[in-house]
Amino acid sequence: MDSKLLKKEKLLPLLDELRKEFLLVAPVEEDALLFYRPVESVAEIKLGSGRSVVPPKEWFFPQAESLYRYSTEGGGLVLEETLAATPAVLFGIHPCDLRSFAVLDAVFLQEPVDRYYTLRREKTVIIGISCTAVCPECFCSAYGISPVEGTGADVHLSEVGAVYMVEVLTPKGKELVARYQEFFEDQVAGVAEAKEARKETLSGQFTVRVTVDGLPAKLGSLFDHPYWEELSRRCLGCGICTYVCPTCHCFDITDVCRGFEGKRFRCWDACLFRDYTLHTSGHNPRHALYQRLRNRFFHKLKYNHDRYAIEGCVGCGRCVALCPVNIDIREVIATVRGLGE
Amino acid sequence: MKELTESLRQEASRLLREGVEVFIGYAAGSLQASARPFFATRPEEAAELVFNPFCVHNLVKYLVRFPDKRTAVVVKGCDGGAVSRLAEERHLDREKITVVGVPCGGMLERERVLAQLPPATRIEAVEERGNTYVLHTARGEYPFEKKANLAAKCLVCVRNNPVGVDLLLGKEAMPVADPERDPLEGVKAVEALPAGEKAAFWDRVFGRCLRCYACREVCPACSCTQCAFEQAVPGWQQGAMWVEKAKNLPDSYHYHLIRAFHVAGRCTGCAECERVCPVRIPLMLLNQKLAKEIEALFGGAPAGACGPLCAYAPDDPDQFA
Repeated sequence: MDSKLLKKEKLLPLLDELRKEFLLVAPVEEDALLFYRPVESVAEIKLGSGRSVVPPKEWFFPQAESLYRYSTEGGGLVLEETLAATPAVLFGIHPCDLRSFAVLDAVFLQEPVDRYYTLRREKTVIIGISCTAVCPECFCSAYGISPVEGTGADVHLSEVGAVYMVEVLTPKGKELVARYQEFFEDQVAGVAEAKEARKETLSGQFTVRVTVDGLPAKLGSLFDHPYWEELSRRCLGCGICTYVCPTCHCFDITDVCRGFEGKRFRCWDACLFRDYTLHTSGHNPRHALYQRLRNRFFHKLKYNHDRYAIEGCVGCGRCVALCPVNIDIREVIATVRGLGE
Repeated sequence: MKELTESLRQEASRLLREGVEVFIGYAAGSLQASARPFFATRPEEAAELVFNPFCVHNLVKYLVRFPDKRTAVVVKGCDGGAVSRLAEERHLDREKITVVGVPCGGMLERERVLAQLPPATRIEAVEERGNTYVLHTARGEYPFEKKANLAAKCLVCVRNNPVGVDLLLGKEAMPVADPERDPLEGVKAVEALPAGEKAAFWDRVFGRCLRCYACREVCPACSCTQCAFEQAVPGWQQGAMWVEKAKNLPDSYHYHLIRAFHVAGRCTGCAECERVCPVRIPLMLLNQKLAKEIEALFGGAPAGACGPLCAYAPDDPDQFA
């Protein structure tokens, strides 16, 4: 791994240069909420810590995405694929969200690969950023993620005093740093140590310690436990937890047709919705809310692990922070681990 | 607030012994300065019930999930209207429900509390001292003056004491409404915007709608068993889809405006839609605007419990259609 330095005052000029060559997607603030959006000027970028409401997965897997258009004008059938991706830089991704890309990759890059996802993934350079604070809902450490870890990024920045320590982690990252080398300086002694010290400090700030050992196996024996019905009593059945989850990846495919023209698109789906996996016959294998809620936790905490050998949760805490009725996945994990079979 | 919580537990335990099958109230939440809906089914579970200025949820909508059970529900003044509304619309069998009213001195805005409390400080007790809530913690007392720290809806609330309840606990709450504050301040500010800015405002807030439908799910006036927006008939079947499932600005407008019109005259002003919204869409602006128009149009007309939009009189001077 190559390591460089970037002076703080050079970050925005660097991003401004990148913006000329790439579509720059970065955290922006709107009414005190953070979102990852394409920016036209680096002045829009909100630097610093803080968790976006919607995770950056939407850059690779948009909430709504057109797959193709069709026309049946004159009795024929014309299909027009709408596959497109611009070279982009995705800036300011925190360690939990960096891990989420690995979770999504396991799903979308398995054979047959999802071309829409792959194309965006290939054309995007990811610049990660270390956390400088731990939110009360954060629990990434449960999944072995450190708040200063850059795994999953092409280039990773960690704020250390007046500089960013720059870790160049992939060939894509190397290419980017080489191309904009005038912005970077050589690593100096003490910076890497300071980053490690930050890791120690932040690790002590998690308010809730979560242990996930043996969870997938344990859950296997609890499918019919009354706990799920009990938990679902307060669940509203809304889509917040799934839509703000960096690893949720269920989607629905629908057509919209006007006369002879139409388009097929896919969009995020949520397992808490009443029409989730509703069959054409009218049968729904998860007709009750508790079954749908159970599905969410099984998917996060068991199915993903069993299918792809990677945990389905990254401990970002978004669902914990935003659930209107305080369904707290950390508490679910602790309860499940303590339940008798 | 210890006494109120105590009497709540006692009454809940008694009701559960006397045949109530589900008692819907609040329990402490897992996060700092939070509470959560709680469902007690056995008398001993009543010990988990609490009431404090974090019990912001309107629990009334949960009643429709238990049509065949004898239930009891805790309501604040702003929640209570939803019980009579749903009973009037025959979604609830009022005979089966024991409505337990709690006087409310206002709910604290959680964000403001978190901004002032040191992180990870456990709140041990909440005391209401006139116009201030005092949070007792291991690190000492933290006073929160109501005027500066209550949720927006509470600052203009005149329903501190619930009406139409079967059981009223605690002592009468003193009104907290700031008489100088206009409840329609926000609505008037948007009305006063030039057309272009008004459009930009709604574009911005609806533009970030995730269509998670939390505002619908939590709303006691959204009582349809199947929502018009949930008829999943795809386009190729030439079905009538009111909004595309895909997120886009025109459909988000459509969803929110239709929803506001569906609950017009039926919204009881609990502001839960706005509280649950993960992207903070100021939905109460729409609800208040419609309430204001209804008041201007029909304010003087005699109305039943169902409100002027549901009232019908054979001698109505206007045609029905």
